[in-house]
Amino acid sequence: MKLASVKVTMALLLAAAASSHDAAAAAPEFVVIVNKQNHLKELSKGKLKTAFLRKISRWPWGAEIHPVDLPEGSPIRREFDREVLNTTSAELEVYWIDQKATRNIDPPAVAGGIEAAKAAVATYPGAIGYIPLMAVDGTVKMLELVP
Amino acid sequence: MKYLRLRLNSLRWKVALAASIAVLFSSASSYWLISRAAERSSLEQFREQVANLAANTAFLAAPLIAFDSRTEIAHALSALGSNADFRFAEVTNEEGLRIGSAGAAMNCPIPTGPRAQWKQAGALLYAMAPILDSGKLWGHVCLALSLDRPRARLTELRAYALISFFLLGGCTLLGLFFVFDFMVGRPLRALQVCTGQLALGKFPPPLRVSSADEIGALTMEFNRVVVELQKLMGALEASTTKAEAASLAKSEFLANMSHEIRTPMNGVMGMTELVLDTELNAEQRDYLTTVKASADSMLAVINDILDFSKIEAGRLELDPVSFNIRDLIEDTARAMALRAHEKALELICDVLPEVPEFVTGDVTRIRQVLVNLAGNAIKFTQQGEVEMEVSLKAKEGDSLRLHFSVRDTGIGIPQEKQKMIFDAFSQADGSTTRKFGGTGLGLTISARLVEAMQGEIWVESTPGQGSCFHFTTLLGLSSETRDIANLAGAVSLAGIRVVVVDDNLTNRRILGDMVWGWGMLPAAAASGPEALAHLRRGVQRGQPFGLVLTDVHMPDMDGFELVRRIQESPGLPQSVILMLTSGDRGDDIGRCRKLGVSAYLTKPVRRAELRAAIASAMSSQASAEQGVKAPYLSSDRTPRKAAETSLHILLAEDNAVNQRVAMRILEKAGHTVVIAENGKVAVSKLAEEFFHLILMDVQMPEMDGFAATAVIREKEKLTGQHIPIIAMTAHAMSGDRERCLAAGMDDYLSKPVAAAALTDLVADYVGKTAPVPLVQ
Repeated sequence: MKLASVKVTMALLLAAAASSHDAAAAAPEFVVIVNKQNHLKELSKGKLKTAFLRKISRWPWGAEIHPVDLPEGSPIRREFDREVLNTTSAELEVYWIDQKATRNIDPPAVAGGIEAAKAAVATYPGAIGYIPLMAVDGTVKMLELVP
Repeated sequence: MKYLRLRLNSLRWKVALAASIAVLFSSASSYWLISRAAERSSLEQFREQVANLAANTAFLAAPLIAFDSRTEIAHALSALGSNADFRFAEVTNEEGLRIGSAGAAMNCPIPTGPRAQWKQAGALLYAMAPILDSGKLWGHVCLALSLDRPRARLTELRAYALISFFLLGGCTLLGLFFVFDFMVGRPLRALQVCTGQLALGKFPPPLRVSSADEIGALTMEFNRVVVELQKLMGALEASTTKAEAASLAKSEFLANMSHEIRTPMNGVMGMTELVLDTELNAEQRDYLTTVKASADSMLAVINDILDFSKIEAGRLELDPVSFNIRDLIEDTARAMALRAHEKALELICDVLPEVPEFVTGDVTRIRQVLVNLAGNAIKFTQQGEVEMEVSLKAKEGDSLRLHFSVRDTGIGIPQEKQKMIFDAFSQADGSTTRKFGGTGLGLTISARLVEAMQGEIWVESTPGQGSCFHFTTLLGLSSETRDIANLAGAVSLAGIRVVVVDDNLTNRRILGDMVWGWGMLPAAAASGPEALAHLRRGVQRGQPFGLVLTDVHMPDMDGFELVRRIQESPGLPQSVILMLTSGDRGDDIGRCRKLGVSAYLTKPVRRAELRAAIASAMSSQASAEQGVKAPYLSSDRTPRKAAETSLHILLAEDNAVNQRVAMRILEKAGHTVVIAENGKVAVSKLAEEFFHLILMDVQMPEMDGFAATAVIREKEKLTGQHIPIIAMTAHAMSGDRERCLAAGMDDYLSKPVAAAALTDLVADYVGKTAPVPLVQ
């Protein structure tokens, strides 16, 4: 129930931000952002992958992890999938179908654009997402990605 | 154990025991159930708690493992340490490697698996929970918690349960006990106490009926029983009192009858004896002898009946005196000899040597039993012999038990009757009484007498071959060797003044005539005061009375009162007192003794008995005064001064018993006797003294009867005198008489010498012979 209302709210936010989406940059750099309340300062690529593949549902302090994806076809999303998840969109789709069937786990919420993703992360304490470095501001906390 | 059993005899304790067992059992089972429940609840609760703790930890641990924050894990685990029961915790990753732990290092004994598990080992409870997140197994949490606290809590719970059940059971028991005791125990105890009183003969007041249950009904019934019993007892008591009064009246009547019968009997017998002493023709003598015999048998019957009633009334009294057992047997044998010889029966006496000479016992009663048994034996024996034997059965200190037996060769007694013959009113055969006569009370009386003398009586018999009656008696050993009869015989009664007191004129006359016959000087008194007057007058005239002969039963002042008055009067000499009793008032003898009366005789009195009693009493008095010359006693033994009927007799006899017996018989008849142990002594005594008569035993040591007679007759040839010599022989042959007469003897007696035969024969010589000195 709670999860459903979060999803709806997030969907509206993402839709509002979609218009400001900029898809021009090629192989853009991205940074991992979390809510300011997040205890962590850094995160390994493996742990980031675990969080985004929803293999763990909570942060170490118990807060629920809400991964926020960028829309498919976004270059940053593609870069993230390749760089962090080491997979392709097609493979990921199969993975989520599989996860839904076996563990009833939905894929992460998808934000309408970079601003929407940033806003969602700023709003939800357990949220984590990725945006280009230039889009980062004081509303979110940036995590250092360690190998 | 004994105490326990004793206490358990009470109903309430038994109920208490049963209730205790029941309460104990139910308490124990309830406790067991409760304790199981407590265990289950407390331990399971703890397990659940631990499982929850494990699950929570697992929940917390999942992201910690995922994010690999080991410090966080260690922190989370050490936070568990705040739980007092915590001992150890560990978190392992997927591969089973420990990535964090807290508490004492130890290994988790539970294999890791996909499900939560727990295990109890020793004092620890282990719980394992898988760490799952998003369907992925990240690792395992294992916890170990101490069971000490929950267990302590359980123990505490159990203790509470135990205490509460104990209290509950105790209260229940106590309540049950008191309720039972109140409702059952108390009324039962009251009943018990009342029943006990009832058993003691007391009638308790009616018990209160406190309930309508069985106990109440019982109490009610008991009260009714008590009332009924009380009524019954009242009736019984009344009838007992009546019966006792009747019995007393009967005894009184018998005692009176005894007196009433004996007084005229005394007249009949005394007069007959006196008449027989006078000049009579043969026919008169024959008639009077028959009268005397009839009176004797009548007296025997009366004595039997009175004896029996006395015994039945429990008023038999023993009068132990010192006596010579051999004399007793020989006396008895002599008394029975006449009857035995009439039937040509041999009468044998045998006193075994171990039997002591002098014993203490009621000689009259023993003689009565012996006479009865011997009389029966003679009565029921047609031919053969009757033997009396005395043997010593046991001797212990001063008391001894003698065994008497009387054997006959008579008709015998059938086996089935032997037990009954000692019962009253039963003889072997109803026809026996008719054929042989008798009251049939003799054996009953004998049995009771023997019983009174702490002895036993029994019979052995074969019908047709004879019977043997046995009895034993307990006697005392007497140190006394003084033969009172001998002393008595040495006394001459002539010249003694005597007061004869009797309210009955006939008896007064008879007694007066009897004592007159022995040379005594009687004064008759019809009452006690008259007797006292006589005694006073005697003192005033200087001619005191030496003897008082008084009847017991007299109107106004009876014999005892008279004796008391005499003893209390300082002016009167302390005369010898002889009492005549009817012998049937139980305390007569005792009162006589208490008053110091010298002797007592039972009416009717026989002449010989009276003389012996007077002589004995006078000589006892004389010897009691120890050498002081008795003023009323003539000790002069010269034959010339003796009464005319008295003879001075020389008895030549070697056997001591026979000596004494013959001497006693003769002295009773009023003669004086000198004894010679053999013919030689007899001859020398004859030279020293004058004698009227010689009784000569035929068989003697040194010089026998024939030889002695020959010597005496030879010497008499010189003087021309003739002293009568009577032979005594044990050989009852027909030729003996001729041999004796041929040897110069004048008459002949066969042994055992019957008293009557001897006195009769001697009496024949009274007046016909003068004392003869034997000239050397």
